[in-house]
Amino acid sequence: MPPAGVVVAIALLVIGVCALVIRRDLVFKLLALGMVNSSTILLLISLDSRRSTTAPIVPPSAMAAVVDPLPQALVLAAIVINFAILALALVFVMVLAERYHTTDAGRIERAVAQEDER
Amino acid sequence: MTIVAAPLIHMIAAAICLMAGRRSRWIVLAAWAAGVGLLAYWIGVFAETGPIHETVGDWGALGIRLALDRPAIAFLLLEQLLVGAVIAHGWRSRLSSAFYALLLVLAGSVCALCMSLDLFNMYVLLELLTLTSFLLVAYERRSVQIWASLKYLLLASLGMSIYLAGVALLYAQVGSLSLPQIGEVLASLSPGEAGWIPIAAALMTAGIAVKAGIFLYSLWLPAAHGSASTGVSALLSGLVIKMGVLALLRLSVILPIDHVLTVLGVMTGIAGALYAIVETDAKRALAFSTLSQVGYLLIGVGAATEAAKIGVLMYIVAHGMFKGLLFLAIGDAGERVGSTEISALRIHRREIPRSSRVAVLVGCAAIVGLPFVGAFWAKEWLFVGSAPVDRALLWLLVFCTALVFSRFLPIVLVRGRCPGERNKSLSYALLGAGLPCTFALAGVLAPGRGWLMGTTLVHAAWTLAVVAAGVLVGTRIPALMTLRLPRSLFRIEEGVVAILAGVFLVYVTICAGT
Repeated sequence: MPPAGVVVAIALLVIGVCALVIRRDLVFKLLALGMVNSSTILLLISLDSRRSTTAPIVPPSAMAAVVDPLPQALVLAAIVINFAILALALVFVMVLAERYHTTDAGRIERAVAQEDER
Repeated sequence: MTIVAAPLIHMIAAAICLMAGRRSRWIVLAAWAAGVGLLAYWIGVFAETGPIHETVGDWGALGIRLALDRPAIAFLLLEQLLVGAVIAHGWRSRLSSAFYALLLVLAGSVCALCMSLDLFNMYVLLELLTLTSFLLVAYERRSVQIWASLKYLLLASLGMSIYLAGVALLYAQVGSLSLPQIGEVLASLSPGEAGWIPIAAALMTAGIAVKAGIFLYSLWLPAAHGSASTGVSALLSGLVIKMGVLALLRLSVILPIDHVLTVLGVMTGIAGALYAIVETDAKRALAFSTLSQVGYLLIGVGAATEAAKIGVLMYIVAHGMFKGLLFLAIGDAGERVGSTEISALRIHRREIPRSSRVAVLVGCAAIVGLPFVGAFWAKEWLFVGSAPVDRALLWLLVFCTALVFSRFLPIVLVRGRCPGERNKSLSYALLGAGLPCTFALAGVLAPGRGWLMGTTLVHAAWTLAVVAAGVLVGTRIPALMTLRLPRSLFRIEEGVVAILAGVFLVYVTICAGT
């Protein structure tokens, strides 16, 4: 039986990808993308968690079993990158919403294609 | 001197650029010149002592492994030539300091990525490339560009998430992120102990394929490369796409994905060429042809022989040169004519500057691999290194490429004396001079293997025959161009579904091979 975190991560991934395909609103699409990205982060953390281990802060005396600290350090970088991507994408959605007065992906696609042909 | 210097110089110069305002183009030029100097020095060191290895932040087993090996040398050469050409091309265009800063960040992350041997470091740098190219595509802020780059960001971010999930699985199994260490562990595993490795390999390969310009994965590419401004498209098609190919090249050393890459190569080679044949817009046709050209590289990597790998590296450099040349020249021609539609370019061909027309002609000759133009030597190494089946597939791709570029011939084969701008001619000249460089590159990458490979004349004759057949078919059977192919494939939703289907395809192929 895999750790509970892994199961939750896979569930989040599936929900996120489905929402990315089904929802036509760009803001929802970005939320779904955020879910997919977070699910990966959860996967990275929970794959290396073991039962009866503690946080990787090694006390000077005890030799307690600790979690591998490397994934936790990596996740920080991944979180920052995902934040930057979502922030920049939202700015672009904002610009498109100002120009076309909609955040519907299908409508924007058609409007852009029409404008391109002219 | 430490090899971290190359990315560092670019990143520091990018920060200075933002402060320098109008004078930033001189700072870019200075950073570029410093990069050229470093590269020349390292090529000298490499030729004498072989690859240079370094570990950054070495606390026990945790450091990031960097190496200045054969792929890194080839990529640094490509980066310097292409960035130099883009700087020359935009010298009088009054580009803002933000553009130059982004250009330098892009160049810096390319420098770092081509030396990186660490899976997570590769993830961070690929994401940095995504972000900078996302901003560069939308630099002119036209709606088409903003929409194309938003699609790119969504799909690329999804792809990198899939890659990171693969890295997480691999790390849980192997306990290391550095490629040489993972390679050692995997080599010592017996066949029954594979565990999560096939799934991890499938996720990582498919995730990177989204960024590598492979058909079915990179469906964002035609819109982004077709709508970006001239210099940016040249950089994206010539350089950024190849970073994904480089990551696949590094992965193929340790993971069992050789035949997966062959399958993907054939798929992208043929599908990209079909779309390029029916495309009416010259820039989009070039973008589709990039998808098709990645096919050569993947088939070469999949062949997994020493000669084929050298051929792949040479072809990466050559393709960067001639695709950059074609994008710059067609972009300039389009600016003069007012449209990049092939029919419009054909009607107004006398208004296109002579230097642009010559550049398109040289680019076409190079992309089909006419004898003794740069790319020819790269293709020869590629053919010598691959098995007979792969070789037949490669000839099919040469035929398709000739078919695509036969449509560009009417644009250039005309007399006319329309003068061009001097800095643009300089950028063409830089890339044109880079083409013979690929020939010299073989001397650095494979010393002692001889300059000519003995099969040159046979290969030249075959090339001429196949190219002539392609051009004949292209010019005599115009009905081919009216073929109808599905267009709805290039929306976001279809892109996501295609990536998921692609993960499955890679996994099935890996399982079938082992």
